[in-house]
Amino acid sequence: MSDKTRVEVVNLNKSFEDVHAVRDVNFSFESGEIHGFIGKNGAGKTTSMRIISTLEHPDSGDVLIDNISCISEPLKVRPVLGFMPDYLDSYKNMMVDDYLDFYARAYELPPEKRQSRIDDIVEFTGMKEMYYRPVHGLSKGWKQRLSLARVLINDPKVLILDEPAAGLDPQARIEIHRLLRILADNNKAILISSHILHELSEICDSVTIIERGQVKASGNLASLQEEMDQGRRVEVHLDRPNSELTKKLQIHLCQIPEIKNVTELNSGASFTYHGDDTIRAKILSNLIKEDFMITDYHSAGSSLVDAFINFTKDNEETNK
Amino acid sequence: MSASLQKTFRYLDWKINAVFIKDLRIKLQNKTLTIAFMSFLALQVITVGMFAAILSRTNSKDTEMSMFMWQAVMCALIIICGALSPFQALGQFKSELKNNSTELVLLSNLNAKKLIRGKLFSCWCSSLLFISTVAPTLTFCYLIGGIDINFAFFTIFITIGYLITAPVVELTLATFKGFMSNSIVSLLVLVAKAIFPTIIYTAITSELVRSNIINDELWLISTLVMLGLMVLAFFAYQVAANRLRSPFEDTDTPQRCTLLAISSLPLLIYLPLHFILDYMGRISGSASTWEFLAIMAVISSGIFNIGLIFISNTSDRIPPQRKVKISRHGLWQLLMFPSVKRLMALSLLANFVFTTTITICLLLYPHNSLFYKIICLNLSFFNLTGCGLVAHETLAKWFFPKKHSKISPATTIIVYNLLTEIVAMCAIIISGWHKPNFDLPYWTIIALSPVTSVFQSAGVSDLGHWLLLANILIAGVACIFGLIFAYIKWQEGREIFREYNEINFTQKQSKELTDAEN
Repeated sequence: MSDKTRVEVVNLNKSFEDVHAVRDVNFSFESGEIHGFIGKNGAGKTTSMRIISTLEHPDSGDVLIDNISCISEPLKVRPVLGFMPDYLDSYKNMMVDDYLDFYARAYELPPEKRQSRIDDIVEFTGMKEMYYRPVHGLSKGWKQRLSLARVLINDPKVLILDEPAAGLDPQARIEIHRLLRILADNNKAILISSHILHELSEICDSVTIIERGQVKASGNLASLQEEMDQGRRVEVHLDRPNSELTKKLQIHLCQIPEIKNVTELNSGASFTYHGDDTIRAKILSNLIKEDFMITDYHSAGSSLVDAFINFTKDNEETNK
Repeated sequence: MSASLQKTFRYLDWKINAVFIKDLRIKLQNKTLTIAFMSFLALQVITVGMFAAILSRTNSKDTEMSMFMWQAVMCALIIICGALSPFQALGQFKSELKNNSTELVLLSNLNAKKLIRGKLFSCWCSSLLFISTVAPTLTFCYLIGGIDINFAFFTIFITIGYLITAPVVELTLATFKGFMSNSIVSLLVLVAKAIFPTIIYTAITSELVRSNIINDELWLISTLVMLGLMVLAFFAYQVAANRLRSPFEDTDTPQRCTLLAISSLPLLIYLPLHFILDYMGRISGSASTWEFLAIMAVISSGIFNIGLIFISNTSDRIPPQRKVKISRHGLWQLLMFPSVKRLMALSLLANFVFTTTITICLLLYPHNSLFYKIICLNLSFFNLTGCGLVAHETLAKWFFPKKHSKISPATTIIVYNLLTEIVAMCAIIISGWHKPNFDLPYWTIIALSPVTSVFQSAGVSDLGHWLLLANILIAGVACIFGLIFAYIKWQEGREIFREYNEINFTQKQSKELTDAEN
């Protein structure tokens, strides 16, 4: 396999009795990338991930990791794959050190490398203080870290993480995201699922939006925005606002060519614009020049949220 | 020297089964093992102390009491290591399967067989620990004079046979869907597993001591039985590994139907034959020589395993963990059975061999030995398992088509077993507790039903006779249902199999054409 690992999901289909869980799912991602897999609960994220991880067999379609099929040659791709389920419900009466040692043995790491590998992972995931604690007594956050440590034990090139930050407190979530970013920078291809959009918008380089088993959109965030042709939304809040001042602000915003869809707020206005952060900065400087006393100027909502709403809106309307 | 030793240890440390190490560590950190171990030691101390006190008061060497003491300790060993410990392993394994820990393990370099092997080794290891503690009791009993070395080692030998087999069977049961879901059923299974071998064990050893027949011939036969148990353990191990590789799905798919058709064929051949032969056996009245039966037991177990060699290459579904190859040859197809029905079909096959043998013996030689009854017991188990599974498939499919996959075959087997046991028990009660026409106590006979009804053809009351007939009838009805079911499935599957062959043929042809063009 080459240094750059590429994962391609091709026309994946899977049904459970009368439920068509996954329909013609196609997307791809590669090393150094964190690919978000977004969808509501029951959208088909976990099923797809289990198929990619060789745990489930699809009715049709294939998953290729560096052109090796996960379906017909699962044993060949398993050494480069790491799957982290959404919840670690591990063995009772087992310590963290025994747990990691067990998986190191299960992956047949040679004895001279085993302990050093475990030590590295424990250091990386920050589990040192929990090393001699029983697994079932760990909090959700620590369990997720342990689960990540388990996944990393055989140093896989592809990580499939099913809602790794679900149910975690903000600090633990930030910590998990930080670890994932380091892993992506270390040339790992990471697929991460979640239904919490803000969470994914913070760390993902590209996303696939799935709805009722079907892919609605896939690609990097910029390309998705272009596809939507919607622009980014910004809110402006004024000091001691009144109706006259907000009216004035709205009129002024409408005169700026990059700006679209100006709407009134209690203390200011919101607008959408096309372009990058430089345009946003220019708009701010323009407003200051016009002597608007601005107390707050920020992006309203993530572009990923907008993308998700936009791509799943059509489906909901059709259903209605 | 030390370098090479170190190298060897490092190699062993690398190659040793990871699951074995993990399970052993869990066992050692679990208080249950310590409590069981301490209790067993305490039991030995109390038993030996109690008997020592009695003996010192009577001031004589009571050989019967010594034998009884030895039996008590060995029975406790069987209950702890043969029932409680494997049952705990079953529970643990079941929960691991339920919380998907096992599938994460299977993603590593460990495969299903290594996983089962690791679990078995850890169970056997703890059994070994318990067995090693009986040495003081053995010495004490030997010194009193109730048992000789030959008898002591013989009993340990057959106990080890059971202790090797029991965990394999338990782990196999754990791979069956919903086996632990019903707590009452689980409890009944545990009680049955604790009582059943204890009764048999006590019966065998008592009979041996009474008849004083520990000789070379008995060693030979017990070796054969041990061999049979090993074969059974290997069978169960194969089934468990196959079940693990296969995802736990019960829905009908083309592949499943294809193999169902293949498995239905032996069922179609077997069921009428079984019923006729079994009924002939029941009406013939008396038994035959047991040596021949013991040999046949080993042979039929062998048949199980020959089938398993082929079965390990196939599955009802094509799981991602392995490839599937369906043979085009009719003879090999017969031996390819799908998942649950794989076990059923094999049980039926073995049952057929047993029944045929017993029927022939019944017709040729009049005999009524204990060993014959023991073999009948095995037959009874296979009979009930096979019929229970057939009944389950038929009833679940016909009456609960939507809930079919949710009904556990294991529950049905146990319900079916209980039903036949109740009928048999009523028959025995009514026929008169005080008029046994055979050596074994009645509670053993309850476990032996319905095949033991062969022994009861004489000396029972009318009502008892009718109840025994009802027992046979239950098996008969299950067989008839199964026959219809098998026929329908056979037809259905044949059709799909034909399509499958056509598709394969077309694909092969198109591939050949492409190759030729290239």
